[in-house]
Amino acid sequence: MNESFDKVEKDLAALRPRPLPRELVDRLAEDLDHPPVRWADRVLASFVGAGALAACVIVGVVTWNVIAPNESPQQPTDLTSFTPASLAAYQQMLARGASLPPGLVDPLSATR
Amino acid sequence: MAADESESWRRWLDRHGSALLLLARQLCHRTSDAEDAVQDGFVRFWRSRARANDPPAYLFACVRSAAMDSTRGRRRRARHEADAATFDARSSVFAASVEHQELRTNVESALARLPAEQREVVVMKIWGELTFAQIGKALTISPDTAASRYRYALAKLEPALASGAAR
Repeated sequence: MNESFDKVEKDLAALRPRPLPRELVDRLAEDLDHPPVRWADRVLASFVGAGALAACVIVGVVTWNVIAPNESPQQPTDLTSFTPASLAAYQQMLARGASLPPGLVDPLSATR
Repeated sequence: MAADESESWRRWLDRHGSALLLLARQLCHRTSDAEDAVQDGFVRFWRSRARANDPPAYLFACVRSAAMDSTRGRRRRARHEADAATFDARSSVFAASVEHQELRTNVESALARLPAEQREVVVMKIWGELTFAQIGKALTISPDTAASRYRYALAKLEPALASGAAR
């Protein structure tokens, strides 16, 4: 290194780079003072959460079975087995209609 | 995190922060890109410093690598738009007193004319205060190559600074 280079180095070193802006230091502090949660911790938390959820489901199912043990569902009505009343039976029912409240049926209509 | 750990990274930042930002500014066009590079590079350095043979050289290498990283996220794009208005005011890379204003202008323009590979060696040597061996490690070149680039750079800077001083 020659003497003239010493002068250049001295001139350059006389200048100081700008300091870091406060905002950048704050961003670094946020990154370094509050490090992100480790991957292993996340996996552990996921397992604990999943286990708790599974336990809730199991307890729910068992409780449901205790409260309503083997209740068989109602059989659905078989619509095909329905037989409509015959005309004679219908007229008989109308004839007996006198016992019904007046105005609900016409008792003479069966004899017409 | 322990308080001494926090103090520890702050000491590193106080010691090297401004030189790191200056280095990043040599590689990034925008101030905000350079600041992002310092943030990313410094965090990367701090979390992996245990495996560094030469921590100061590794720190400069991390920031240089971050500055050269061309991928930019959405967060950065948004901030670029936000501080576009203040870009010009912050574009000067040196904090110069009144008597050094002319020197600052000369140095900035002379540095800007240097090839990037020489510019980064000058920044690491003068303001980063790294040895040629450390610069070689940071740039993955030999110490001799680092010294050679430095000499070429000074040879180019000398007339620029001399003419500025003569005016």
